[in-house]
Amino acid sequence: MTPATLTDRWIPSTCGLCYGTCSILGHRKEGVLVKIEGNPESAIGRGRLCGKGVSGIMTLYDPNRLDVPLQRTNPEKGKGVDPGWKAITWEEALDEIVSRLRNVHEDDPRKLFIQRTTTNTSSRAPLMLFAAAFGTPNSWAAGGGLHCGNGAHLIGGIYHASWSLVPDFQHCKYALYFGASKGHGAGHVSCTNMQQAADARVRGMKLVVVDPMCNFASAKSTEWVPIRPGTDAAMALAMVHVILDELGVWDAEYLTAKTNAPYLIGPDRRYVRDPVSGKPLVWDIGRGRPVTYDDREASALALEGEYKVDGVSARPAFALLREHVRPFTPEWAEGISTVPAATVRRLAGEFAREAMVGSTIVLDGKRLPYRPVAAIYFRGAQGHKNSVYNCYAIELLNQIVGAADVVGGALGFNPVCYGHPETGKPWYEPKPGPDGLMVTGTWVAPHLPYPIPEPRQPDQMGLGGLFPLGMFGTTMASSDQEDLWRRFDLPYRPEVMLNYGANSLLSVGNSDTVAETLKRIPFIVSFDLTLTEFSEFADVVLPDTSYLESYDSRPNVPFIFNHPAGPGEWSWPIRQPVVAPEGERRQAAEVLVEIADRVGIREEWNAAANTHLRLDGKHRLDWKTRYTYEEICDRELKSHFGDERGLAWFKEHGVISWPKRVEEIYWRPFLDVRVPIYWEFLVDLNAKARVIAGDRLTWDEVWYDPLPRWLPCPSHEVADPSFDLWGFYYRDTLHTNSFTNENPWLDEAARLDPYSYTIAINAATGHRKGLRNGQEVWLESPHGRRVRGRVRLTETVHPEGVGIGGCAGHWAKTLPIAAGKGVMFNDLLEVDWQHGSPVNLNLDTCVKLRIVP
Amino acid sequence: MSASRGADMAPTGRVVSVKFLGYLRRVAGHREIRVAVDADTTVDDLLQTLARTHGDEFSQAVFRAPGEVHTHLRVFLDEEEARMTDRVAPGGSPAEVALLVVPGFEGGR
Repeated sequence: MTPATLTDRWIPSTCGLCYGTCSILGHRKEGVLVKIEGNPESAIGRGRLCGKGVSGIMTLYDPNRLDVPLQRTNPEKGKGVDPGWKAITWEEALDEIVSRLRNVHEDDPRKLFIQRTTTNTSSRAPLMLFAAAFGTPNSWAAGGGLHCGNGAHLIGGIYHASWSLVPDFQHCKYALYFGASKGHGAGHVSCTNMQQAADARVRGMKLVVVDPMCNFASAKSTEWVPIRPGTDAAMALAMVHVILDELGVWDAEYLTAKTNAPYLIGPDRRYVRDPVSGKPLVWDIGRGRPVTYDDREASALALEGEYKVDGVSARPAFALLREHVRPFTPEWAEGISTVPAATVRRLAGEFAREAMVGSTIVLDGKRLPYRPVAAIYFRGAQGHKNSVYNCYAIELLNQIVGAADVVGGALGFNPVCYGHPETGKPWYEPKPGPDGLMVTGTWVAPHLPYPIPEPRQPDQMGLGGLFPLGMFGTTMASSDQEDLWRRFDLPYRPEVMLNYGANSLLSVGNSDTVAETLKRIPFIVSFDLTLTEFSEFADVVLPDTSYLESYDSRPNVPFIFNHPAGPGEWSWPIRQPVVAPEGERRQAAEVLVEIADRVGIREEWNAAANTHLRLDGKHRLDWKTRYTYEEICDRELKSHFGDERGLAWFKEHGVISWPKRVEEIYWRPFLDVRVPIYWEFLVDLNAKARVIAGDRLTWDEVWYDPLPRWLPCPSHEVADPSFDLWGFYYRDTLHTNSFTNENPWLDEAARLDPYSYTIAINAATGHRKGLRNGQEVWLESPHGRRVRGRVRLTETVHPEGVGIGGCAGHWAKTLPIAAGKGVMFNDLLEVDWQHGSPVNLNLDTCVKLRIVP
Repeated sequence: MSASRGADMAPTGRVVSVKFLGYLRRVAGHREIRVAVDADTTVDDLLQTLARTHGDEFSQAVFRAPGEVHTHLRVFLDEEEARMTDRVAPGGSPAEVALLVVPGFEGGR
């Protein structure tokens, strides 16, 4: 007889229905998962779980799950073309895959193109290890980055040493969101943030949300400020103008000590440097002469004025910022953003007043700066060609009042961690880098946000080498891909693609363009739970285990990506199988270990794992030994938490937690690092990139101005007046990317929701156009792309806006629940150089539209 | 004799093997070479030497800017991660050196 504890158990693990990765408990009875709840023992979710999380059971038991490897028999590839799948054995599948990969590895490893989903974070480490071991620089997140991170995460990294930021919910009094829904929607640390945001509102925190649509955050805000899409920088710059020029408020102490505001800038827009050390100079008012920025004897550094240094006129960066924003009045911003000048002026005044510049507070016996305001930006502000300046301009609001990683201010997600009290691990903190500017302690993307690599002849599919501020480039899947590769003499073309769970047909841009790029790749392997639109282009599909059938020692690592910021506890949970996998499903990470071994890159894989996972001492992998991924997970946990706390310990306990220290939470006063309010490095970056690009690619110099400005998206330059609306998509809290559309519970919720599957149009605008609720219309872009959907008239969208929940609109017959539901907004998006940023390669995701009945 | 010159010009009996892992294998043109060094040769010296002998593409793959290695470059001595100032032949016993680019950077310890 089986003991009851084995037949009826609550198993601690981690959700995988979005990258929020909240800690969960799965209730298994007689081998069947019957319920999922949040795990109250973990800081990640604190026992709460969103609608998606509890619905994971339906994804696990989806009757269309793949159980065996499949091979296509129809060589023709295209949207809607039946691949003619036939079942094959794992051995047959791996023989074919390994043979292809061996050839590519021998010939040119760059011919391997790796793509992964952002939905399941457990894909990141094994695919990163595989890419590093194999030697390909061509890896991306299938639209992730292009849509949501080339700008926002870059700015988060440069200013907060973190992937993203939130208000200090426990102390903030005034939060200003630009296209963000932290605490109100899906994504990073969603469940914990939701509780914290709600508590903050009860406590009295004022929340102002600037957004074209009044939905998740706006609906719970104190004030919704409708804005024309893609104009966030204009409004933010006008607020900076008001605060600096009209109100004369700034935190001189913070700017002097923690930014490059006092650095002297010469007429060439570069730092004036000490001729001996090469360090940037500042003006010491006390001694009346220039000194290096790190001169400990300096008494008072100038933020304003003009000085002669070796006969050259120089001004502090802050003085240039003040001068730069002088023309950006609220009246100017109103013409661009439609936000009334009076509103901009009022909000700027409120923000400056609530910042309480100069105030302090005592926490844990330490007197700390107290700035209870936060300007937060994310997907809405960043999803544009002008993402860098949008986010940079908004961030300046935090910087000028010193509200960055101090009590009450804008907090990065955990940029400092001094580790578990017994082991001191994980340990990282930001440190000063070139010119004293901050280098993150840990990071996620291919290279650090700062220091920025020098531009070089690109050898990546995304041209990233030439534009090193970007994580991913549009040419990974663009209509001008081949043209640009030819122009830059890219000496190879992708021959094998490894896809993990991504559906780039839906997640990048218009599916016709993406389909053409996929058709040119000779061999595509895809790890999937079910067949999707992407599968139609695959040659072999491998049946993956779901997150409820898999191991992962690090579902919330690094902490800068997905761990609650602010006071509380650290928690390091694991993911473990709640039920045994059915059929021939295998965890992708284990399959990758086997492929790496058979391709002959075991040493490379083990070396990469040792360094990437920070494996320590006896837990390091011997380069010549083969390990399972489960063994590697065990070693990572023991490296961080001691021999007694390996995978077996975590299987039982699920999570280890310990208290945060005040120096970790409000770290800014404790560390000697500066951040740039003036991006001097852009001057050289532009000059060097231009030399390399020559006449092969040109761009306007204004994109590399060291100070931010509002620059129009392509949608703002459409001259045809019949295109009178701005289309944008938003992240529906009911769905994650395109993945959850097939979940029947979430589909039902979305069908009940008035907006999830409809086209939100301002009611007055709709009435003027003779539209009615439920009416089917076409939305047409200036490039002639069309999508069809049902109208939902509402007061909750900007009069010029068209809001669509992304990314629905599936058509694959293999997704019977998702097919035909909602609108595929991305089908309206061009994916080409003109719609990408020449500074960080971000894709523009707003589009001018007209309605065609 | 400086380490870098030693590596280039004057074998002193100490020879390290250098493995180019992952991305660097193609850029270097081979997976493994042997390099003569002297007692004081550091990792940084060795990289400078390799950059000189392996051309611009290799140099750009290793150095972010002149004299500054990419943050995602990892150097191993006998499979242990090394710092730029570590000697590659400490105590007269040459280490096995390996270089690897890890594109998904995570720092700390």
